[in-house]
Amino acid sequence: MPERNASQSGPVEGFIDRIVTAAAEWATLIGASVVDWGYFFLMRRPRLLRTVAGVGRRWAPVFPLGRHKLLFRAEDVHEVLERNDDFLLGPINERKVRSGDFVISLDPGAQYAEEKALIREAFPLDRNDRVYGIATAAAERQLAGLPASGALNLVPLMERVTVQVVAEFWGLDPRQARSKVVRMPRGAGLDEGAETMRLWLRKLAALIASRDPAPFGVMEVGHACADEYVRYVKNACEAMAAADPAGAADTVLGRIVARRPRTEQAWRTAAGLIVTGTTVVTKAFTHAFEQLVGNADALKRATAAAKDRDRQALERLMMEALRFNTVFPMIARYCPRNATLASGTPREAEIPADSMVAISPAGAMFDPEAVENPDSFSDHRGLNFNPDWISGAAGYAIGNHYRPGRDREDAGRMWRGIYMHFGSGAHWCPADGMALAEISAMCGAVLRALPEVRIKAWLPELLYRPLRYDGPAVWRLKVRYG
Amino acid sequence: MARRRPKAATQRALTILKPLRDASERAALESILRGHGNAMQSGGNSALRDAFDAIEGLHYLSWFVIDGVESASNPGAFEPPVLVLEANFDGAEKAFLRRLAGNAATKALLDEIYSRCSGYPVPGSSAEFTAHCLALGNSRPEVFYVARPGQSAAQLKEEARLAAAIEAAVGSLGEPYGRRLEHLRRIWDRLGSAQRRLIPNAPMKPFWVRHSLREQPLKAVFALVALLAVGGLITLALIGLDALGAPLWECLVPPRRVADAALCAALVLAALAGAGLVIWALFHVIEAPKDIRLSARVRIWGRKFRAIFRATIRTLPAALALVGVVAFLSWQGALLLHWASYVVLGLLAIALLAGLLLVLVAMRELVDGVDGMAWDPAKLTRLSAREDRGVQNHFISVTPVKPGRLRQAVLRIVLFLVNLLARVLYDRRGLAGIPSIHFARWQLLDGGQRLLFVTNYDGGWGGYLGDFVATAAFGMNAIWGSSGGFPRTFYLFFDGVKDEQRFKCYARNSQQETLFWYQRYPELSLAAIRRNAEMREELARLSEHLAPGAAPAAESELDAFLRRFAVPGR
Repeated sequence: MPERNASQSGPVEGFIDRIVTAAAEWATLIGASVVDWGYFFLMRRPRLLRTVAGVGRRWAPVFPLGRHKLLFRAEDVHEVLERNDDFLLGPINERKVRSGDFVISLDPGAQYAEEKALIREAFPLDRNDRVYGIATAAAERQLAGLPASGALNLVPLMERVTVQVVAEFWGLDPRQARSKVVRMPRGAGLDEGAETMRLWLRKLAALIASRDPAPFGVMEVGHACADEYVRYVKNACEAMAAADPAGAADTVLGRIVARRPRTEQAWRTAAGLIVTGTTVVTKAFTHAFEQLVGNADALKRATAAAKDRDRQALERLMMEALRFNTVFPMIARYCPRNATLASGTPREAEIPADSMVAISPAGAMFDPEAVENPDSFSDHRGLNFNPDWISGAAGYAIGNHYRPGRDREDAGRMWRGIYMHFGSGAHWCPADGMALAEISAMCGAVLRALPEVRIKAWLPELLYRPLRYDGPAVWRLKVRYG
Repeated sequence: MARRRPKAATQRALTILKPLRDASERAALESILRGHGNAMQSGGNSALRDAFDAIEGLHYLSWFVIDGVESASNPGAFEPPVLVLEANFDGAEKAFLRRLAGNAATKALLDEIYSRCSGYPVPGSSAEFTAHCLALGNSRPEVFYVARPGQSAAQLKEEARLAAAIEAAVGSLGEPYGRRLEHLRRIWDRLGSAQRRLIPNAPMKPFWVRHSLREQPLKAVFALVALLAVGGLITLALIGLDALGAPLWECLVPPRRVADAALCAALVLAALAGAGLVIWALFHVIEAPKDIRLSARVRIWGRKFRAIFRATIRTLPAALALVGVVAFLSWQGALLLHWASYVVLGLLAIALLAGLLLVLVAMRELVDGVDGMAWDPAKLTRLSAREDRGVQNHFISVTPVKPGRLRQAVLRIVLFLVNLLARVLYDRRGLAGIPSIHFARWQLLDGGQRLLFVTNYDGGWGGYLGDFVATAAFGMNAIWGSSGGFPRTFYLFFDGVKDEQRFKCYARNSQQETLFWYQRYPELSLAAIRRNAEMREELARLSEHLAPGAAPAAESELDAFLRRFAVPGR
């Protein structure tokens, strides 16, 4: 290690710098709390966010924020997501992912390719169907035995569905989970391990979906939970590997442990996969469900589809509903070197090295240049899934024309779709089909179990939100039924 | 514990002029110097090269002979030619001359050369006395430019070795795997322990390089504010001393309104800070994480409160300085304004005078003679033969200064300003944007009758002069516009070198032959020197992030460093 400080400053300059830095640090602490709260306020109000994004798209499609840029147009958002070498995700996520390097904290390279190959091996081909089945059964169990009418907070119920998916599909038994950070809710018949896992996943979702450093203690809680969670996954993997990896159950965790001789890589990948694959599902469901219930016509069609157990119709409805309040309304990418964006267009912009680019899928999905009648709710828009990971299990053909040999422009046209909930480019979520299957299963079960479901909004969106948040994760969605 | 870093070297220029005893000795002397110079350059006299290499701190050294000027006492007759020793080195002049005269091989060379010059002791004199006699002929240049201020010759060589070691470490990386920081860690681990110790220990750069006004103009504003803050703190101290009843001179006792102003400012600041803290606490309560245990909540809140409390305490000196500035301005603000108005008036007067001088110069420019575009082919062949033998070249020019006090005054003012601005507005890209000059000097000879220009530069002569035309025409015109026969300038700064062919012809005609030239690092271009230094600086900075628990390095810095060697990212 170096023995001396390499910075070039004298003692007087150092003293003045310290004074100024201290004052700036204080102002940053105060200012950041205001900015963070303002950011949360905007992100939790989809209508307001759409308006802001619309103004941005029209008048300042590349909005400068000091060195950083905000982008609202679909074309630019796609460009950023697809230029993996110039706009990196790794530096954004690497400090958040406490389990060590994993695909969302890596940029395309040798290790990234290896991690992705491991995930590909671990995913079964019928993964979407399996998740749908597990989630449907779990949701129906959660909603069974309710009175004919009343009020209900859907969030913990759906979080428990997610925990069930973690146990049955991912293969991580939550029963032994214990925490010194999260608090067990009071209630009869609740399993401590499952409840701990549920709260861990919520806290980890808050960490992953938040900026770094996350404000208001979200980061501290997230990191503390992540440490407990990673330790738990590590122990589970080691126990599985010690028992008989070859004979492990046909779950994702079992497949990873069986295929990897290095336990460290197994638990690192498993921990990352489970978090990214499950934690934002509840948020996606609540966001989509709130929008669905707010649209009488869509709700009617969804109720019919739920009764008919028409999974494809439900998926289309949920995907469209999610467009009106997407899970990641803003996504950040890091620009390590100077780059030109939207080259050759009137909005061409230079992005300097060491700057951030914040792209707005919420704005892009309402870009009239990319989406027909963007403001109307339509479940007839084409679904687009990660073309590199299509399993064919659900029968979708859209997007699987992609061939790596094609030139970038052609490939881009094939890849691109209307919906950007799961990203695009190299970091397009490989579990998009599973996530959609899971939220559709939840939605179907809720609509079947709760007649005349409604959400009461007492005041306009600007003043009141029926969705309550724990950091960036959803904490409460109270519905009335019957 | 961090130790103090080595101090930067100070590069200096030496120009020793010694007239020949007899003009007839010139040919013999030139022949001797040319012989030694050629032998050393071609590697034929490695002993002499080794002797110069052993002289600590020497960057460049050259000898050349220039014509004598017309005798003042005997018009029409000329003074004997002058032998010029020009050197760039680190440290003090006397110490350097002692080292030069103290080395047996170089002392023998000095004796051989200077036995034909006046003002030199008899051969065999002591090194101390020889150095003293040489120093008597030394004169300071009007402008001395150094491309890499503070970087000693030893440091340049050391950085070249370190760069080679870093490149070797990168070369042995194989297929990169993992994060950029991991690549960096592997590179760092592959370096030897001595190299790892050396890399962060680069000497501190001079203050005016660290704070170049060209690169950090806001720093000047910041420095003024800092000065004001010092005044503010003194004012607060005086208010305190006065309140305590300390005996103070009357002029140092601040009036009552100053204390009131300070109190008012303190109250406003406290109110603003209080409002900020309330907002901070309010948002933290509203957004507090849900469903966590009391112990975890207490721990997190404790950490948050500690952070804001520590930041608030650390802000107190800045807040105190701000209060002091308000008090100081309420006390001495009017006086400051008064002095500021004098400064503005002074600057206006200087601008007026400069404009007047320019008009006078412009009137003279209309009648000044301009040299033709003819040159001596034999001289050109002789000069060209000594050029482009390596990466670096040497150029010497002696031009006559136009007669008259106006020209003398203008030239001296211009040289003074160029020397000053080259430091204050230090440009790491090079002098006036010319990236290839290692060292350069302009020096008035014979009481201002002639202007000497000596430079060590990279690349070919044509390209170098082309850079003068393309990027530094303004400055070059200002300097050489006062030289006789120079292409016609317009209001001193314009045209002139833009007549490129005539300018190059003028430069060739005024060029003097380099008879002997020593370079410490002939293989290093300035681009390589800059790259080596940057590589070391970057690695030193980045290596701080390798320590356990250190803050992560900026990805852009890691990326920029690794891309130097075309190592891909993750």
